[in-house]
Amino acid sequence: MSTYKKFVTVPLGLLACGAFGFFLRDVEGGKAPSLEAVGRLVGVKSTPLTISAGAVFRQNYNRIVADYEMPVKETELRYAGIGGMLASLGDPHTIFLPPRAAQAFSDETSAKFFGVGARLGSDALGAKASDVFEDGPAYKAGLRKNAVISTVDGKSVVGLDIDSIVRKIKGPEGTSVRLGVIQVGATKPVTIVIRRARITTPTVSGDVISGTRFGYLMITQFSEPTALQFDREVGKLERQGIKGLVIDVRGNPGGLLTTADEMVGRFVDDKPVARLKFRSGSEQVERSASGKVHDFNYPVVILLDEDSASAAEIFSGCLKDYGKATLIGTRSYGKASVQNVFPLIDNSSAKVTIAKYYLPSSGYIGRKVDEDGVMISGGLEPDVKVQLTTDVLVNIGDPKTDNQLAKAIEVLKSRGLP
Amino acid sequence: MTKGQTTQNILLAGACALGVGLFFGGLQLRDRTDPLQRVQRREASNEDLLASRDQKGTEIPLGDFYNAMTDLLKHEYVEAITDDQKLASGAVRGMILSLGDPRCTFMDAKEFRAYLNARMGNYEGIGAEFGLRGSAPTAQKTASSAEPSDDPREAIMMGHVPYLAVTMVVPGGPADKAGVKPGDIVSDIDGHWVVDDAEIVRFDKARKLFADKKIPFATVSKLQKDLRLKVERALMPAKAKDRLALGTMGQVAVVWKRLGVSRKTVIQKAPSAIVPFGVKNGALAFRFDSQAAGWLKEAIKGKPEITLDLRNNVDGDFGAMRKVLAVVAPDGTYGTLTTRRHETPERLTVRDGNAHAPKIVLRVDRTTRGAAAIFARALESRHLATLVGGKVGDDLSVKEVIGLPDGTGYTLVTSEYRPSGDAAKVALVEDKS
Repeated sequence: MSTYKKFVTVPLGLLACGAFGFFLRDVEGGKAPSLEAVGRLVGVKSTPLTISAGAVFRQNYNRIVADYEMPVKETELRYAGIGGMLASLGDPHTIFLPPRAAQAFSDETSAKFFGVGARLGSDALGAKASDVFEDGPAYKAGLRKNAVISTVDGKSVVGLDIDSIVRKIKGPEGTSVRLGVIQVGATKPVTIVIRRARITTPTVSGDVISGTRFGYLMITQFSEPTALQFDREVGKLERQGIKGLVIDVRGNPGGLLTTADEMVGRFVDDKPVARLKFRSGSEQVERSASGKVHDFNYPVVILLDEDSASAAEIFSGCLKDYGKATLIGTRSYGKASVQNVFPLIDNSSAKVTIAKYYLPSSGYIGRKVDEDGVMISGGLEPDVKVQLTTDVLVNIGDPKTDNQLAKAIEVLKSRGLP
Repeated sequence: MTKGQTTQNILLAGACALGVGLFFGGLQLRDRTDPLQRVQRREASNEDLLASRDQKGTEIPLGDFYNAMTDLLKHEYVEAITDDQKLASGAVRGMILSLGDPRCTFMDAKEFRAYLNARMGNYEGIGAEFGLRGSAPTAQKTASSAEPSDDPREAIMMGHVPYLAVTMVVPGGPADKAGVKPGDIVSDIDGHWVVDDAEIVRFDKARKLFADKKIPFATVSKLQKDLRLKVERALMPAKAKDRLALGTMGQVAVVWKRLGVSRKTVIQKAPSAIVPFGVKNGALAFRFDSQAAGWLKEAIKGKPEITLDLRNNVDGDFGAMRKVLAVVAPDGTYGTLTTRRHETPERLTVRDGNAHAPKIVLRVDRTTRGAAAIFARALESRHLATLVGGKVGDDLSVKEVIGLPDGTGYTLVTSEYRPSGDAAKVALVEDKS
């Protein structure tokens, strides 16, 4: 080896050793050696343009944790980051659910939670039972609608806000709670002990509309037990000899697609409910349940508004498309997409839009909004348009103040029935 | 073995050792250049993170979380995802919004470009600076309630909507010509209500009064109707700001509120600018940027007394301000940079300062904000300057400005400046050390 060669090869070799160390990370990561890293070495501070998206997230997360003027809750920051990532898709239905929200969401879709089985409203003397579920433990223990709860486990709840009273009453399955209750018409409280249990929330409720022979059923959401609850309530009304039915899905945000299939199956047997189109281009046709058709030998109308969405729209749209019901009210929300919930190992979950759907003949009803969020198109067009009047204090379900319901009765009457 | 060969072998061994040393040196160096990108030896796959029975409640490492979510979206989301950087800046936006701090702003590419231009003195829109005002947070909001939302209805339900106010008006710009003044509140743009929670608080109060049967239903009903009509055509403050601060074409009809009185103007958008460095009415006006210290050093050479005009000086660079401070003030401590992260506050010190500091008069008012306000309060706290004109703005925060690869960017408050309470005492301590 000549001296000249040594002078060249040795320093070159040394340089290569150093460079190999410096760029090892890139090679390991399967990338070309990073020139930006060299840039940072000489003090260039601008964010490199080809930095990976994952690194952008990590770097800025670390920056906020380290530099922000206030202490940062790291887990929440991380969740907010993932939430923002999903929000960047511009789809309001693709969202991240941190553990607590994920649990609440899953309770809601299964319509199950632990408690005593009553809805409470505020009252000067504590909390008023605005609704007591007939299947629930509170009903069995003797609590009745409009009773007032004034003590919980011996402690007065007078003057407390309703949320904190509910928190005191709720608890794990199998444990007991002692309530001081003033029943309707009574003046002195009695003590009721209720064993907490898993509660199935009623999602269907209603009655015969007074002064008519029409039934009224409000469906608050399409959860797991909804179809069975619907059957039961319809049975109750039919035993009273109804000649027409109003199904109210106003404010119903939807729920499970399978429940919509079940519900449509009460009206049409094994017919297409919705055609789903996935990201891959593949399609899937949801069909109504088979062998579940009920003989509705009276006219059915559906009340809907701009908050009726998702499964509520599939149900209403199919009944309209198959000529089984008249839609009354205002244009519905227009949510023509299906979401799947992906639970993650830290108990959080991601609700992601996985498909768009098309109704049998109403087709695609997806909502379009302008840049100010004002709706341009989409939603189900009602057969009879009527806006809810709020000039009076509206009591939903009471035709005296609920003009949309009054219209529904008018439509049923025009069918030549009482 | 000849002596020459031995020498050669020793040299070779040395070279090898040096090579190994350099290799590890290179590794170290790289770690220091980008410490946030340590290679993850094991990339978690999507399936690992999806819940199974035995793992529930396990914390997911940050990087894996991001990768898993990207994978999930790429496979499952109804539309093709082509822009990874958009996901990343969406994540950063979510994190910044979760701080619930009106002083930290995430800006889309258009907004960020306009923001950087404004820092250079070049304005679009109506030629003004705006601030979101509202209660500063006491703690980070919970992630669930901080779900980023552009929907006014949701934001209103969450409460605490900051309002949009003018912090500075570019002299001679369109807003200035229309009589807009700092402190004016934006209440309506082109017939769109700019959300302001005073209205919502009023409605909530009415609803409570009605519940207690103290006012008739008609009153609440009317308020509710008005509010609903407003909400249907509402603009969130950040969007409202875009309508005023972006673009150089077209006009905007704006309703301003000043001391409870409303005033309507129609303003034609046009470019406007603040001259970076100059002498006006015997006062030196400048911007806190990389050239400021050099310019000022020349401008004050040999002058025993100077007047600096710090009005309309809103978003100066903090680093540049420190250098300017050293040009006009002697060594010492000028207050502290405090954080609420339970750390000992950092001192704002000047080294290699001006031992023969001139007498200084500062012209200030509420458009003296950020770095300029800190500068004024720092000199005032050491009795090195007389402030004339008015009170400086209340914004004494130190901000970082960060640009992201897709052109978006954000500001992050890193500390608050506090002038030293007892300036003389601090100086004495400083002298001893």
